[in-house]
Parts: sequence; C-alpha cells; structure tokens
Amino acid sequence: MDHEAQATSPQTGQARNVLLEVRGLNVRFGGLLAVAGLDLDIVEGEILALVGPNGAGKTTVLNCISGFVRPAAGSIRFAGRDLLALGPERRAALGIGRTFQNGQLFASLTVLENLLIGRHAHLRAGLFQGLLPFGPAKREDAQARQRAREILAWLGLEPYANRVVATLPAGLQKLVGVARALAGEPRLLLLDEPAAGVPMREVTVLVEHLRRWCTDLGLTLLLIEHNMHVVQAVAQRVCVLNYGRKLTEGEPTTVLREPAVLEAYLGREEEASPLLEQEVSDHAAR
Amino acid sequence: MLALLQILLSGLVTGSLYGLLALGIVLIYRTTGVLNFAYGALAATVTCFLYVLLTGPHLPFWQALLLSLLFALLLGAVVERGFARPLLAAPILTKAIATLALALVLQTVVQALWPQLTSPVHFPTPFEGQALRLGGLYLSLADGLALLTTALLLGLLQLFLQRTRLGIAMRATADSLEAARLMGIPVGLIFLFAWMLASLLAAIAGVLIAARQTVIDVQFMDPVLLLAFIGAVLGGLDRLAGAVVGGLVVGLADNVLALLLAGHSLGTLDLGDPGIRQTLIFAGFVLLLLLRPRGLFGGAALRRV
Ligand SMILES: Nc1ncnc2c1ncn2[C@@H]1O[C@H](COP(=O)(O)OP(=O)(O)O)[C@@H](O)[C@H]1O
Ligand SMILES: [Mg+2]
Repeated sequence: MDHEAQATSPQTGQARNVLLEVRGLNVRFGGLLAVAGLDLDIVEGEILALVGPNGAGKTTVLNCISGFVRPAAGSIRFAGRDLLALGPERRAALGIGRTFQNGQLFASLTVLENLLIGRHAHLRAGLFQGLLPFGPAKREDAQARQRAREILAWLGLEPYANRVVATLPAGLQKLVGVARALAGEPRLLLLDEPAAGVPMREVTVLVEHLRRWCTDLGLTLLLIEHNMHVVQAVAQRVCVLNYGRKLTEGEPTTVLREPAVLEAYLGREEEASPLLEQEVSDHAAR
Repeated sequence: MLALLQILLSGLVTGSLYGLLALGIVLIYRTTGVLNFAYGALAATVTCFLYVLLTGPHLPFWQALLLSLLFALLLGAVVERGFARPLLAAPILTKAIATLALALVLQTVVQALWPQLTSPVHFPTPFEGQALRLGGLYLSLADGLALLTTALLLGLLQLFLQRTRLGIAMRATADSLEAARLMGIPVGLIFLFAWMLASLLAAIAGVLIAARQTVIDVQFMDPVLLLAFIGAVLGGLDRLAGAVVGGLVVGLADNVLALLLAGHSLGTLDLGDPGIRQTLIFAGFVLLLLLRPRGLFGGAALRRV
C-alpha cells in the first residue's frame, strides 16, 4: 500500500465529502520542524479530535488552517479551494471559524458586542455608513443583534448578553469564544482546547453543546483537546500527533489504547494528563 | 465659601481640559499601544496653525477654526501613516520614546515655518474679555466654552464608542488585534481613524487652552501635557471615563493647591509659584502610583491592549 492510500484508507467505502484536505504539511520554526509531513482529511459533518502531548504541533496545525502560520511545504484545500494563497480574513470569510487557546476575546466588550464583531464579515454596509443614525446600516445592525441574541439563547448565554466579557468566569468566557465564532456562521469550526480551564461539571455541558452544534448546524469540528473524557464523548475520529508527526488515526476507543499513544503521553511524564492515564487504563481493563 | 466655590469651578475647567487631553492620550494608547508624548505638540501645532490663519490672512475666527480642525485630521492621518504605522510592532517603550522625537520634529517645523511663535504672542479669540456671572460666581466665556465642549465631546464619544459599529470595532481592535483582523475588521483603517480622532481632540483642547491663556508660543502645551498625562495614568490608562475623572482630579488639585499655597513661603521659597504646585502634584502622583500601580480605579496593568 502506498503512502497516499494509507492516509485516506479509514474512510474508503463510506459516502463521504472531504471538507478539508491537508497534504504533506511541513512547518518550520527556525531549526525546529513543528509539523512534519502531515496528511489529514476532515469529512463534512464529523468531529475530529487532534490530540497529543504539549508541543506536539496541534496549535500550529490549526494556525496553518486558519492562516496565521505559513507552512514550509504542503497543501491545504477547503471545499476544493486552495487555502494557502489566502490570508486569514479571506479564509474566515470562506467559512473557517476558530477559537484561540488563550481566548483572544474582546475582553472589554459585552458578550453581545463580541458576537456582533464575530458577524462583521457578513455585513454589507461599511463601518463609516454605520455612523449614520438611520439607513441600511442601522437595519443591518438590528438584524445582526437579533441573530446574535438567537445564538446566545441557543447556547444559554442570553442572561449574560450585556455583561462585559472580562467579568465572566473562565468557563463562560470559553463559551463566549465559541459563540463569537458561531456568529460568523462557519462551515468548519476549529476549537483549541475548549475544555481547558472549564470546571468538570461544566465540561459535560460543553460536550452536549459540541454534539448539538454538529447535528443542528451541520457544522464540521476540528477539536484540539487534552481532556480525554471530552474526546471520547464527542469525537468520531482521533488523530494523534507527536513531535509534529501523525502517530496514528482512527476511532477514539481503539486509538487511545495503542501502546505508541500511551508511550507518547507517558514518555513526557510531567505533561501527561492524569485523566488520560485513568481513561486509558479504564479501557485497558475492559 | 464663595471663594472656595470659585476655586472649585476653575478647578473643574482646568480639570476638564486635562481630561479632554487625557481622553485622546488614552484613545491612542488603547487602540495602537502608543504612549503619545507628542500629543501636546500635536495640539500646539494645530493651535499655531490657527494663530497664523487669524493673524496672517485675517480669516474670520470660525472659518479659521474649521480649517484648523480639518488640518488636525490631516495631521493625524499623516502622523499615523508616516510615524505610527511603521512602528506598530515595536516594543511599547520604543514607541513612547519615538513620540518624544516626533514632538521635537513638530516643534522644529512650526518654529521654522512661523518664527514669530518662538516667543509668546497674543492669541486673539472672539471670547476674550467676556464673562458669565452665575450667582456670585465668575466664569469667563472661554472657560464656559471649555466646560461645555468637553462635556459635549465626552458624550458624543461615548455614543460613538457604544452605539456605532465603527466605535465597537475600534474597541474590539484595542482588545485583540489578531481576533479583530480575523473577523474582517479593517484594522489599518481603525488605526488611521483613531489617530485622526485623537488629533482632532488635541486640536480642540489646544484651542480652548489658548483661548483661556490668551498667550501662546510653540511650547505652550508642554506643561499642560504633563498634567494631562498624570490624569490619564490616574484614570488607569485604559478607560476613557477614567481619563476624564483623572484629568478632573488633577485640575482640582492644581487649583486647590494654588489657593492653599498662595502668599505662603518657606524661607526664601515662594510656595505660590506654579512650579512648586506642579512638583507637589507630581510627588503626590508618584506616591499614589506606588500605592495603586493601576491608577485610581484598578483595572488592567500597563500593557499593550
Ligand atoms: N511562533 C512560533 N515560533 C517558534 N516556535 C513555535 C511557534 N509556535 C509554536 N512553536 C513551537 O512549535 C512546537 C509546536 O507547538 P504547538 O503547535 O503550540 O504545540 P501544541 O499546541 O501541540 O502544544 C513547539 O515546540 C513550540 O515551541
Ligand atoms: Mg496548543
């Protein structure tokens, strides 16, 4: 079997529509090869989890897809279009939404205002036209507010619509980050550690949400997550990265049991998530 | 009692002018991360331009003022494109020091173009010598206009920042440049607009201060800027309302100190001297910063926001 066939074999035979296609992705930071020859397919409507120890290159892959990092080699296609020639804003406008590991929220703005900016790419009237107290821009603003409120209601964030983001607890801020990305009505949503810093009881809520977005909105999700509980609960497929290389890929339950995966995590003791060890040993025991 | 009220009133006037300047300083700092020590020089440049229009071609005051405000917008745009934009990614300290150089350049250019402004000259306005009487209180027309204009501008600015998509986009850019850019906000345009707006505010403050003092030279804004900066930092440097309150606090302190110290002396030192007052305010400010490093109202630490 040649390399190409191997990379795509898990999906062969299924009726599938590849939304994002990554081929031979290489990213260099000085002498460091942060991503090495990565091939990855994301099928429309699925939830794919990207996991791996700290520094494995997960965020870098996300940054390549959203356009913040320029790869040294490789190609990325989204819905048949070559992405690498486009800047981050153009990619966002094409329907690639993302959250940031460190939030990058508009902290001094209200929750509602964060969503309004999230919808900005969908506005037709210009910023300066919006200075007028009447006219098409004002009507458009009213619609944008309406839509933002719908998204907030749907996420249960309605009570916080007019709260300044910086005053909200970390878990809610994470959710606001997602709400802001959803306000842009993306086809593909890239989430960087949505459960990090979220209290355990809120994680279950988050998991419910992630599932619901995909079924209700027809959203495709690429998820970086350290919390293996979340990965097992939501992902249809898992891709494990280690030192920038794909270690393995497949169903969460099987993949997370593979010795190579265990070793990748346990080999870096200080970074291993205790939850992972527990989850993995749970599975080993079954 | 009346004397105290009178002092408080003039404290309110100076304070609102410091507040207006602090507002522009904070606006620039928040959106572009520049601690703008050239802000006074920007104000002085436009005020000197107005002076030249008034005394050279003898344009009517309001016409000359309108032209000067347009000039302020242009100057803001030129400074943004030619000075601030190339430095966008530089460390905050580098940018702050570069603004000192910018101030020097602006002053040198003004002196070269209009040498008469090297020494103090009379700044003519239609409000000179006119005053309002409120009960027993005295308020010069220039002071009244300063109060009114500051209140009006503050209100308009709040409306703009809270209610318009440009205002919201501007605040968003200040919070996270990366995210704002990703969501399709034209951040370059936002920077340009922020500098133009701040330059306009500087010009208005400069003209109001010149109308009050009736005498200007190319450096007339320098002592004012220091106090406005103190106001901005007191306000926390990251909130507009804080800037205005900080400015008011400094203005009131300045005037109350003037009342307390007038006529007193320490040995041969005349405590009524304005220099003593500034020194005291500065000392108080440093002390306050030691106690509350984030300004009077807490908030975020000094950072590129
Ligand atoms: N902008 C950058 N400049 C230099 N090195 C970077 C940069 N971003 C990431 N790296 C390095 O690339 C490697 C992968 O990082 P990252 O993608 O953030 O890992 P992960 O998200 O899996 O924890 C790490 O060794 C990290 O130090
Ligand atoms: Mg990461």
